[in-house]
Amino acid sequence: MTVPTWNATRTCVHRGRRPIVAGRDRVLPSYSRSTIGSSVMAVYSAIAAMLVLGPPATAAENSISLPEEMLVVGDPNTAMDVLAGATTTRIDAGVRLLEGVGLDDLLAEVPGVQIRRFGGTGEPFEISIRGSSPQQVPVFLDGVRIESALTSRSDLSVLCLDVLDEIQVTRGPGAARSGSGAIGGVVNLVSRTPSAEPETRIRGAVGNFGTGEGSLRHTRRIGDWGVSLGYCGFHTEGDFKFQRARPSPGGGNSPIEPRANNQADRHTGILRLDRDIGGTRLGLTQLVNHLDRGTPGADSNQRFFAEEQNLSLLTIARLDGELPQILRGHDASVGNFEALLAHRYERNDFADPEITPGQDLIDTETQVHSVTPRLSIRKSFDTKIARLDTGLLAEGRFETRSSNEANRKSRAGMSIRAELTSHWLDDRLRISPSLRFERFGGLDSEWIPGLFMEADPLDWLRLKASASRSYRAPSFGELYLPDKGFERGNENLKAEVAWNFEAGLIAKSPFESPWLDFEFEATWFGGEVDDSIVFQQISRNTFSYENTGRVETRGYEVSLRWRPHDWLRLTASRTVTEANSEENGSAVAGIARSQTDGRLEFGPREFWKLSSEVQYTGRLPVSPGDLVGLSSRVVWGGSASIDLAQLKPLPLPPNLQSLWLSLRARNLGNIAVRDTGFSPRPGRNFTLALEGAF
Amino acid sequence: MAKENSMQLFLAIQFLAAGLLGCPGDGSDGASPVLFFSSTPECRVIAGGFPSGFAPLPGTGNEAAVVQFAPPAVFGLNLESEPPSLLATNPVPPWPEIASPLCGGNRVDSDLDGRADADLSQQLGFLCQKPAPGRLHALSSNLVALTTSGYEQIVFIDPRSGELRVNALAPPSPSPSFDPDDWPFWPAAGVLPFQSGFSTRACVYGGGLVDSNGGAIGTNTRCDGVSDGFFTSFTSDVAFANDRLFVSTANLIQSSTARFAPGTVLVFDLDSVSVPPRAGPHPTNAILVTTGYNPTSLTPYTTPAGRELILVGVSGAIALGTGPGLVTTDSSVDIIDATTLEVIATIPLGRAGLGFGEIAIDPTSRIGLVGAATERSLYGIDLAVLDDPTLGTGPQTLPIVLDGMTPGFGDGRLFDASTPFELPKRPDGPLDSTCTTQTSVAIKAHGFFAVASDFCDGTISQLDLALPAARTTPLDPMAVLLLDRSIEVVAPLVPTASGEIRAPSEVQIRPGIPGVDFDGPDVHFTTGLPEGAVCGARIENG
Repeated sequence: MTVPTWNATRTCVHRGRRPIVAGRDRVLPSYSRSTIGSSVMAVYSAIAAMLVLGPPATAAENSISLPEEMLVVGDPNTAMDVLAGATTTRIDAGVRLLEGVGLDDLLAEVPGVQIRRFGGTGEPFEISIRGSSPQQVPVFLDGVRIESALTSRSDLSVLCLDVLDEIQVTRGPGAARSGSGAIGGVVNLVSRTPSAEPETRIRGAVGNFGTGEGSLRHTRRIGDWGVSLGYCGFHTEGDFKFQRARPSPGGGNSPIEPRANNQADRHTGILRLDRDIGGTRLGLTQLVNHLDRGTPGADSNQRFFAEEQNLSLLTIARLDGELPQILRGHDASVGNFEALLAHRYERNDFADPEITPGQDLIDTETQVHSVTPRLSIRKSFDTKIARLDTGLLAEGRFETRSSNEANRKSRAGMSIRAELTSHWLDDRLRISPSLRFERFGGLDSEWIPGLFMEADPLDWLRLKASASRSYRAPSFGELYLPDKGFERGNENLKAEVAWNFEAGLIAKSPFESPWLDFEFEATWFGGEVDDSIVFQQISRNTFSYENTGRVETRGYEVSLRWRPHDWLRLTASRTVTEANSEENGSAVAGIARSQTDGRLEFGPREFWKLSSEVQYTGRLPVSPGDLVGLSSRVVWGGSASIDLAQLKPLPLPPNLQSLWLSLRARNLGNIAVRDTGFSPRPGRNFTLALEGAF
Repeated sequence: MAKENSMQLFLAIQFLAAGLLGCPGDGSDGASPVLFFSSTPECRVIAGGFPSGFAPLPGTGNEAAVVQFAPPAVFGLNLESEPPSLLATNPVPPWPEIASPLCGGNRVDSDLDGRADADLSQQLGFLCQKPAPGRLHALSSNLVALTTSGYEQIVFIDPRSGELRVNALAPPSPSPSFDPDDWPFWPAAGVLPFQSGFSTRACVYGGGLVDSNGGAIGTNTRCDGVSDGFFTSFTSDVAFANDRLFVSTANLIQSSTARFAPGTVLVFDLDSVSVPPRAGPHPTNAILVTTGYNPTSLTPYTTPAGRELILVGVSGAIALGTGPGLVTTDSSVDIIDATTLEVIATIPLGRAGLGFGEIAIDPTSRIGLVGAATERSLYGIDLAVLDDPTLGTGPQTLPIVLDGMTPGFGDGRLFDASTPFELPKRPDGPLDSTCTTQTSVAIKAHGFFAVASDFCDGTISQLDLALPAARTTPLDPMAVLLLDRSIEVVAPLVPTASGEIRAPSEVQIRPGIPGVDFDGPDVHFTTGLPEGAVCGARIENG
């Protein structure tokens, strides 16, 4: 958080706060009000109505095919290949959605992940994995990047769980697979795939602070095409009451006051089409997000009229299948290929008409286009001693940014990746070396090696270890932020470069007794990031991005999953992370030293369930050097959900497969919670939701 | 039956929704949120980034007051402890806040008039402004005057407790030289409200006024709408002399273009004998216009003959950014006669870009040193030129330019833009093209050395003063000030020092002999990164 400074020409310098306009006249474009948003919504509504009014759905199970959360090590997935030895957690979005959780809630439960929330439901949040910065965790949708090329950050508050099938979180080195940015880890969101059986789900929820949301999802086959369509809308007034933080030296008020200018409206639509063409699958995905949100800023200096609008469109065309015979050669072994072309458009508008003496009006408009072509081939070979899975990938990236405050900027990049996963000793030992070459315009070429190993010495024990180099190319904003005197970009930035290591084990219960059905995981991790890019003061009244020194992270994750009975599930995890500057030993701001999570779930999951969650967060430094910190806290939450469709006495439509009613409670202790020095989070709040499946 | 069950279930859900959704929490069931600030052995850390003001308290010289920028507060400090400790024995109270119907939310009421500052500002046409604390001046050991901008005013605070102190506002009666309409935030004469702050918003008139970019300043609808004029803004400093408070206003119009209206110094009569004290604009000479733009400091000075003057550091218009050429208009030190209330003289210093700290004056009142806002330099003036009792009292047109070219008057320039006193550069400091430094200077009260801070390098330089015995002997710039050594007191402003304390600014020297009269640091300075702080270091005999 940049706090105001008063010096030099007596100008109050803080990032992006300088308007001079009388009144509350908005200076935002009208496109969001009348053009794209409503047009897209009209299209989706029409399609949805057409599909829903089609032939009645046949009876189908409300089955939960995947466990709610499972740890996967080295399990390949068509949406996002995962190297053997990498630690990936896969979360079924649909199951937890029934409890009323949000995307941030699910991510926060993953060991090694810290979520920094800047408010309540619908407000921005950031992801840190193993002490990384948010820019060091790229986010993908179906294997295609969705983080902003402008900031290298992902504001996942614009997405809803309703349009997702699964969330995959890979902790640790991932650049070897994912390219630039994957220093802390990678998040891949998997959209809902078309299913063979038609299904419609409608969900509605209401919550405190004038919050309401709804979604409609439909999937079916139309001829040879599989169709999955989803829409979710969200609105909140966000006027939760909070207690302002005061500094320990003195002087601050700590009244209870409402969060002002915190309303948000969000619309998300996704369309996914799949078709088999002679053994090859063609997939088309279109994701549209629109967000209109007030930006209240720091709690001690609330901005009453600042507003942000964001529109993003992601289009993916994918072709995958078996390798043609001509590429297989005489080898009869199977090979796969994937060809992909993706385009992402993002437009961001920010305006603040509230006057600050001596400063200019804030009205920023930025647009970014990103195009990604990709071709990958995978082929397996059997030798006398081992099975070899090989992969080759070539990818390009072209990005361009235009803004009303700066000249257009563009850059292009390319990468080539080769990898091998070797299976030894009846697949009890897997070794995966990989090498990626990447080059971005204006930056040095980067070679990114990685080595991943895992072994199953016993049926119930798996050992894993990995070492990999990672890097992150500076974003457009870091390089080309317009020079306004008090802030500017830095075209001389070098890429962040890192080495990451991890070693760990996963132990599953070797016992037959269900009371001893457990899974235990422990991982030690370490990393060194050179040339970390930090936005900091460089002169009397000027801020810019600079490559700082080396940051070291060390820590461990332990987690336990215990399921002694079909009705009883317990998960607990603890992560300890130390992130310090090697230059001076100062702690990195924003990384809590320890985090402990516990979750208890009770009930027959297919009918009803009760859950209770507790999260302990240790002391949180909010300033570099750990001169300022927030004390530790314990936050409680829980949920209750029941499938009303299974209550026999209720007269429900015959084609209604399920009707889940859920109540979620957050911060039951009603304590003052915040993840930063100046952004409060709500006290106790509830969400009531109803979801029907047809 | 099924229908009854459905209705009961529906009602139960409605009841549950109404009950739970109608009782959200406000986060107040636990401890109130506190940002814990940890001090170091050398530095007392405070909130809000760069402390905007730091001034000694009268007395033994072991106490000072520092301004916390956000949330606004003034802390009295005991400089004898390491790190400096707070004088307040109770928690320093916050400035009161009141609901603001016109501007929304709770807003501060720093002048204790019973209305949110932003509300009154909005009502009078200045939009919803809040007071941002600036510099301060100690009126006594338990009373400081603090400037605020945005909501332009002087606020009175007891540094020993941090509490606001009230004064009676006593504006003059309307007259040809005082129009209450030009002072919209002041009450009518005779009302005498008790407030902890008084406004420094005033209309300034003058024919042919131009801004620092050469543009004409026309009429202002919030003034009389007829004459060329502007409203004062960006209150920058305050000083007390001759029972009057002098307040400078920088009058910044737009920072992105370094556009300033002419600088002004406002004059307020302060009756400190009455209980409570009374303050009001001077009835005839309440507004003085400086010779240049952006006055940033006020220093009371008494000549050896006892004449009370105010030295105004006119910094010149300074642009944002880094690198050379940021100073776009000339700097000067203007001389105000605290009795006649006139700008009687000016010492031009060229495109120096004077620093924002007070002018440091040596014990013999011969030399005045001031830091720089954009250079690794110091500037200085020869105070002997002010000894002339005819200065400003003769037939000459005021202000008299003391550059050696005015017949009958001396040259007050010692170190100016063409011949600055350059400080040494730290070998491992940042590039000048990246970090444009600023300096601040202090002179020991009973000694002959000075110290100067360097913002970018994180150093304090010890300088020796070698003044001639006779005031009539001209000062030799090459000999009067000599570098003794440069001490690296904090980290430089380089990227790899992120997290370390750095960026020193205002400095003070404790009186007395370190190691004899006191132990511990003899020099204290403020820093701004990564958090605001007041730090101490042993310089003399260190």
